[in-house]
Amino acid sequence: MEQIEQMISILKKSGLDAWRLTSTRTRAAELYFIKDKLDMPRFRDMSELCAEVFRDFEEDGKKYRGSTRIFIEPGMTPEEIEKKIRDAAYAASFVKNPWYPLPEKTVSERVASDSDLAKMTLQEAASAAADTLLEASGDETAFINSAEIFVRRLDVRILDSEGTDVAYGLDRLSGEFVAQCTSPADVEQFRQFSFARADMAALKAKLEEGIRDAWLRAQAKEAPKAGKYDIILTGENVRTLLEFYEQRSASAMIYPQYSDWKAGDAVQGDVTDGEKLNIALMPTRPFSDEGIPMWPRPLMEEGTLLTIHGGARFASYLEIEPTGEYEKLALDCGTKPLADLRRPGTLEAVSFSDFQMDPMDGHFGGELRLGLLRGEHGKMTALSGGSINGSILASQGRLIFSRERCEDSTYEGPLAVLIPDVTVAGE
Amino acid sequence: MAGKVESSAFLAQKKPVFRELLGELLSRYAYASILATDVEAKNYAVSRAGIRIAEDRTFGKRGFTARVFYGDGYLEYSGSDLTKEDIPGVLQHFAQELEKQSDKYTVYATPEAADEEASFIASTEYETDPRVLGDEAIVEKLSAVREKTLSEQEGLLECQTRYQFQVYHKLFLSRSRDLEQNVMHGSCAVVCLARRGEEIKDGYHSDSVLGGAELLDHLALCAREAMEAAKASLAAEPLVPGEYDCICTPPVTGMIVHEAFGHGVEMDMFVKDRAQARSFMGKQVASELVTMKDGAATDYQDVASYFFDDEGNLASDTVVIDKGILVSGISDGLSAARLGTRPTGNGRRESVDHKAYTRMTNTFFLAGTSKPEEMIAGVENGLLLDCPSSGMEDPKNWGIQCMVSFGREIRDGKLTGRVFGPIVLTGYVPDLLKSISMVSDTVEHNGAGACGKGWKEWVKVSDGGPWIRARIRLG
Repeated sequence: MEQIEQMISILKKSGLDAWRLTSTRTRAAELYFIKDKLDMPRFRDMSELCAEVFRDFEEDGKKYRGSTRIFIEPGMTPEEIEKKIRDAAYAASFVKNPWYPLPEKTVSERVASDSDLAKMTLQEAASAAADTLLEASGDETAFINSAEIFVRRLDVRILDSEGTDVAYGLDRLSGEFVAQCTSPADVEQFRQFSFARADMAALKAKLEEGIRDAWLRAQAKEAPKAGKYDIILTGENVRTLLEFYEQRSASAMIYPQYSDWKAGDAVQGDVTDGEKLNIALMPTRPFSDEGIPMWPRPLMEEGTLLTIHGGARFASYLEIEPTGEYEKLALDCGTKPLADLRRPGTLEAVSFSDFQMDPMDGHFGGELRLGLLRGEHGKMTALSGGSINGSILASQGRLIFSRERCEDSTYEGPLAVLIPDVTVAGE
Repeated sequence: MAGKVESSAFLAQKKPVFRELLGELLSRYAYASILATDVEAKNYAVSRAGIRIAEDRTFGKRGFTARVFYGDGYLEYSGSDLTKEDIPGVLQHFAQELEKQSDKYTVYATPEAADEEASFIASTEYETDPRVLGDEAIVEKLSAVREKTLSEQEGLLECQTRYQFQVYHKLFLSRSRDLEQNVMHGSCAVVCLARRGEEIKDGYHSDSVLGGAELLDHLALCAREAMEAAKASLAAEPLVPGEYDCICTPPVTGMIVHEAFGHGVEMDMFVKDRAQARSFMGKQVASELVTMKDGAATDYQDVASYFFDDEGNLASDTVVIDKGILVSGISDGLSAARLGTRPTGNGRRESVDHKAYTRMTNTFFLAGTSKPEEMIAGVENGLLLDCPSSGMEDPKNWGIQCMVSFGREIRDGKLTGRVFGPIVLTGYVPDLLKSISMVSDTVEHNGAGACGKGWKEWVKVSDGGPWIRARIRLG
């Protein structure tokens, strides 16, 4: 008997009030490069069996549901598994959380991966990405310094005591690379990539952009002068900025009152000179970790919150529909061409050491690795160093998004956003 | 309840199968090794969101990685389980997939790994085994500290209390090595939240131990510190960007040690020509008051202490900066082979199925001779920086990105009570390190956090040091 079938049988006989079982098999081909040479090829084939064990109890007439998460390790005997479940059930009795139901039963045939990656072997897909990498290796001055390529194939099955039984396959091409430029200064640019498809054209564009940005950074002689700037963020940093709205609208933030947002609130505040936000939650897998079917949902429309999102427990407490946890946002706005945003005096923050958004206090910032200061008549000065320190609460009414768009596995929407009057620490 | 961490029954039972696979691999390849792990880890949290008890696989899981030397380089295969029946499949995968993939490309030439003879079983110690203490007692302790803190401080929105422990067992086998280690470590943290209009401000404090649940005795102190930090964050005003005379508390010193400098001496970055430090070997990079160490076998035992790394190299105690002069980097085995140096026992994997990279362990500046009070008294106009929140490395260009939640204003040698934050530290690493003009006579270190290589490959590390006085560009 396979371990999952054995586990289902044990859970059914265990007398638990509820349970959920998630089986994940991850196979991955990995290629690591140093310049144009192969550092190491790796392969992994890992299986994981995770059980959430629930126990119901009452105190002073109030119903509680405790849970604990355990992992069933490869090679465990049925007796060891039974003991581990008993221990977990005992531990769950100390988890005094208000009672909540598991999500409604969902039964589905296995949903196969719809990615073209699924039609390739892992090694073929990794080699295709490697060939793209080696072709886009730049010139003697600006080139790819090193890269890591991961092609992952996931097989996931989720079952629970309510009768939910869903399964799906998922394929991902992801990785990172460092572009280096050695003259006039020796500098680098770090980039990550993640695609749901074997999109070698997008990977090639990302590689070329990284090499170009390394070249631009090599031209940078100084940090920006300290002061207030109109800042342009692009690509993944636009996505990071949106974490403020994504996280403040999560039921896991609202239930404990870390966020006081409610559906229907004009959470963007007064929009004066900017654009109102229209954001959608986009599924990247057919079912959530709890087996909830996932589809596109509107998060915000014209700056107003429409959906509070999250899993079953907090949804039950807030008396809303559980949606599952989303990873991808789609932003549907952007009226101005990027060229119009790049007006004289704007500072385009091309890359940071680590751009961060704190959803608790709304502050965003990071150290500037490459900035482009726009001057009159198309003049552009590359800068490096200094830092940006802004507040979305102060800026959200004046955000202007580009008409040009971009997409990766966690974001689709405008390529750029202009944020006025942001403090920059520099020379 | 004190004791030494016992061996894993699972690894003991599987060892003959791993030996058999190793034998088969050694009959085909000049070098082969197997790293096998067994892990037990649990997270506990109490907050307004509820109580949480969950096993954790963030920093390890049960499984194995087989590494072989082929052609001019290495190949690796990782699996979650290995039975006798699985061995032909693993051998076939090496021969038909990994070898072919390697043959397609020019391989970065790497000498065969040194495989000096060594054999031992080593374990760390603990005072209280969290598994024996039990879930109920742990949740009770977390709940009690949380409730006391909330009752003592009016207006506090939240007091989250957390504890996590990990017990890991590692077995490393090669032609000449048979090593086993059994390690227990843990960390605890308290986060206090307070509201200011639409902003939620936080205060955080944590502690860690190479040991067991005895750490929970430190939780009340963490709560007091976190509460004070939340109050400070709540009062924080925006800072006028500029260069300031700064006193850094030990946690901020630790962040500078780790993020600003430590990543730059990871020698896999030397191999890739990604670290400026390589050209500074033997040169001054810091004030002569600065001596820096890293090592899983240093005197400062913490969450990153171990006996051998994930490539079977023995742990060490490395002096990185000696009185301001950069004297050594730290390295994994393959990088050392490529650079012609000795490995320093810093080859670490996030988990058994991940690649090994050069990673820091316990990293810190050594103590000086000054007293913190006299350091503050010597500042005419500056800031006392506290509560590090995040940092990011830049080994290539030695740019600094470190963030702290707040800084307390110092005027004429005294704290004025004004607080500024959040604050970003920027600048050029050697400029900051060379500006260090005072170093305190006490050292603190902490391993509650985790370190990534770029944005992934999380491993447990500790960092710390003394109070330092330096000139820093703040924004």
